[in-house]
Amino acid sequence: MVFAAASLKAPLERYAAKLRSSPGVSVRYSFAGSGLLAAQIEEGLRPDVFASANLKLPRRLRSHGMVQTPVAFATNRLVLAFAAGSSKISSLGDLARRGVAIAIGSAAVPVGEYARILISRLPARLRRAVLAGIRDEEPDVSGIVGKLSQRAVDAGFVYASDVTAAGGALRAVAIPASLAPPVAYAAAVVNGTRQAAPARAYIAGLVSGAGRRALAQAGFLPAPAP
Amino acid sequence: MLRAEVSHEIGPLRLEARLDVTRGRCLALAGPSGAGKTTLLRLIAGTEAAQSARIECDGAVWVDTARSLSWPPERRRCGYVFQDYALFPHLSAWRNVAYGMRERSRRRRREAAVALLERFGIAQLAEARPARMSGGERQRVALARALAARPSVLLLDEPVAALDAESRGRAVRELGQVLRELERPAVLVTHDFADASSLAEEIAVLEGGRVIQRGDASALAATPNSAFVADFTGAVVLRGNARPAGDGLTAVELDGGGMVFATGSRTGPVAVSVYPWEIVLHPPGARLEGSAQNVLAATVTSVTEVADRVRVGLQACQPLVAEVTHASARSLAIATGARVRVSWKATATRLSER
Amino acid sequence: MRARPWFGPLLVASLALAFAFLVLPVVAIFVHTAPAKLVSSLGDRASTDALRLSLETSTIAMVVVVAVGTPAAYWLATRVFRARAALITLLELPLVLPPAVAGLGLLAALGPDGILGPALANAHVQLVLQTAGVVVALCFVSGPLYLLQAQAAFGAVERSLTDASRTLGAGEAATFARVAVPVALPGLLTGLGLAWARALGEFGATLMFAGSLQGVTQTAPLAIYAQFASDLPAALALSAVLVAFSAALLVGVKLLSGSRSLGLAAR
Repeated sequence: MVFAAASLKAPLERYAAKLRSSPGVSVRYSFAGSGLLAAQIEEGLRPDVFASANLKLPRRLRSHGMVQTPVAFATNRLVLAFAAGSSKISSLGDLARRGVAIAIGSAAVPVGEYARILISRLPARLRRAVLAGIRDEEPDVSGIVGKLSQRAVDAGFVYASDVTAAGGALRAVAIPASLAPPVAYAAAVVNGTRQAAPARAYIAGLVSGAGRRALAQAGFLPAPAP
Repeated sequence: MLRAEVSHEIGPLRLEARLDVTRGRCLALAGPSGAGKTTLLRLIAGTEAAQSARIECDGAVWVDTARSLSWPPERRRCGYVFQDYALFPHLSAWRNVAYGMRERSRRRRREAAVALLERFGIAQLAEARPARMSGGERQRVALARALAARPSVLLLDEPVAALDAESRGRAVRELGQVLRELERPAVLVTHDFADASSLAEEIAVLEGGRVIQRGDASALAATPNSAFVADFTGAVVLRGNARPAGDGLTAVELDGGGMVFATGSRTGPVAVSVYPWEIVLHPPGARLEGSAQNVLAATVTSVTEVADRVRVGLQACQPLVAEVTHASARSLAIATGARVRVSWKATATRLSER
Repeated sequence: MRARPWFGPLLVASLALAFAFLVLPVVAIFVHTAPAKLVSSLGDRASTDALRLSLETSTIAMVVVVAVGTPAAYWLATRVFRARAALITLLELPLVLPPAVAGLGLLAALGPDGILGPALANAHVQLVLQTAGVVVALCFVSGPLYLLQAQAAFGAVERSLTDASRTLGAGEAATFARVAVPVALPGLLTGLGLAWARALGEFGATLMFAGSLQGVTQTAPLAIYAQFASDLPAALALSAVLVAFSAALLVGVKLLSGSRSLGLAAR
């Protein structure tokens, strides 16, 4: 049983399909915002693996003795996404234009934290405009993607992998490296699991194996060098 | 003058009736259940739409389906007393009564309503809700409510049927008083012949959707057109098979055995009716003299004293009822289980379709 | 038939089990965290905004639902026509839809890309991401609850009562106001209570259609979900308030309709 961040859905499901071909391995998933999953573990739920969209949450759980040492297995890029076919947004600066509606993740979710880090690094005037333009705080990435595809908002901060996964419905503007927040995905074996060895093997596969390949296909970059 | 002519389908039944009632008079509508009496009332009141009808009151045409004309019920303003009274449960008695009044001033409406309640002897219930009243009290409020609206026509659907015996007597007397004073036409649906004869000047019997007989109470009792009318007017009804017997008589073989004779001619299955007071009782072995032609042997099944006479229940081939004086009952030693012979005249025997 | 001695206790045990199961999570909300902590986290701006928004939007939605739903229910209850059963089933549909589906439906109809999207834009009406959108979502999911209850309540008003009113001179509108509504009132109030409680708890359709932003569209259920991961006591405190309010609503409705129907039933 793997608790994984919503943005990992596509690649991890492909990883599980690959695993199914070898005998005796079956993976079940629960995808949701990383913050919600961490809170569930704090309340006593016991999956075998926790894969989060940041380092912070697994580290916090580790300090509470709930998981083992987290292993970083991928990075992602935060991008500014908009619906394909919309001509409103072509650069970060366009966010300051009048009437632009922006969706970000809520503060309790990694994709929302990263967006806030990015916003704090923007020049003052643009930062104020962006903050004023925030009209929606979604509990997970799929909500932001949904609002974008429905043209309910003009722009949203999601991961590059989400744009890939949307298969053409979304376009993205890259964020300059100087402003981009470091996005790191980390996974940890949950303490108290009765399948510690398969859990470790699963995580190993994420770092360099079938999992890594699936992640690369989905647009996730490899883990930063330790 | 209320004039109504309707042709209306209620499921398998076709209601085809014509009636007229002069102002100040009351017509009673009787008939077996399902005959269409309540439907007829509702068509007159307008709470049901007639398929084909012409109804007019005092020259104003309420319904003329040929011209697609139909006044809504609130325009016809019929005073309607429902079988279940239909008092508004959320309103007090006086508010119920005042509901249809047109007075603008609340104070005047209340005064008029209380005055009406006073007339029926229940002014003390003015502020009470229907839930706290007895059946008789509700009946009076319903009547007061219908009258308070100054109706063009008064329609009553079994207004005393739901009352216990004691309240019924008083209610019928009160109703009689109201009808006598009312200068509007009234139609009264009832299944009780005694009520019909005391409250209405004329009775129309509706059977199978048609008016099969119309007349005053004594005409109906004297010459019932059907088994229902005979039964309704209190006759004994026997069933049998008729064939001509010569000499102006018809012989009827009764179901269960026995033979009686009647004047008039019919053939086939018939209902034989005779009135309890026309039946004479004799001791078992008596020799019968006189012009009576119908004789049956019977056993007494019940003896009931009713006012100034005795009602004797009998069982011959079919059940019968006879009414005799107290003196006769004593001299014949009538008691349950006693065997007697009953007789009545062929001319008192009426035949009708079964 | 021999009486089984264990049947009675079995019934009692089943009831106790059901009762414990249904009541425990509700009680746990209040008992899990220290009450002082619960109360203090209620003073949080996010919490007060969420509660205020929940109350405002649900109240406005109820006004709309009652204003439109009551005459509609009366019409449904008093007219007989062949398509009636089909129409009622259609109206029941929002009730059985998963909230996400309801949200999608609203987007597909009223969203910027929806069927009426351009028309709404032309009229300068924006629903998505606005408080008005929350009200629309609440009306959609709770409206049918009221409509169906009201329709049943009007249907139960005896025909002789409305007939009596008509013969006494009151037209259809007057009969509706002076007889049908007062007599059907207990049922109408029950419907209102159920619809209101449903609206207060609505999450999925609101999130999908109107989004979630503090002070604008983040109602209490949305705030609870947002805070669960980061501030559990705050989430619990909000939950406790919602539970208390919903319970008060249900009890209030029961009392109001119970006292009235007792008066009617005591014939």
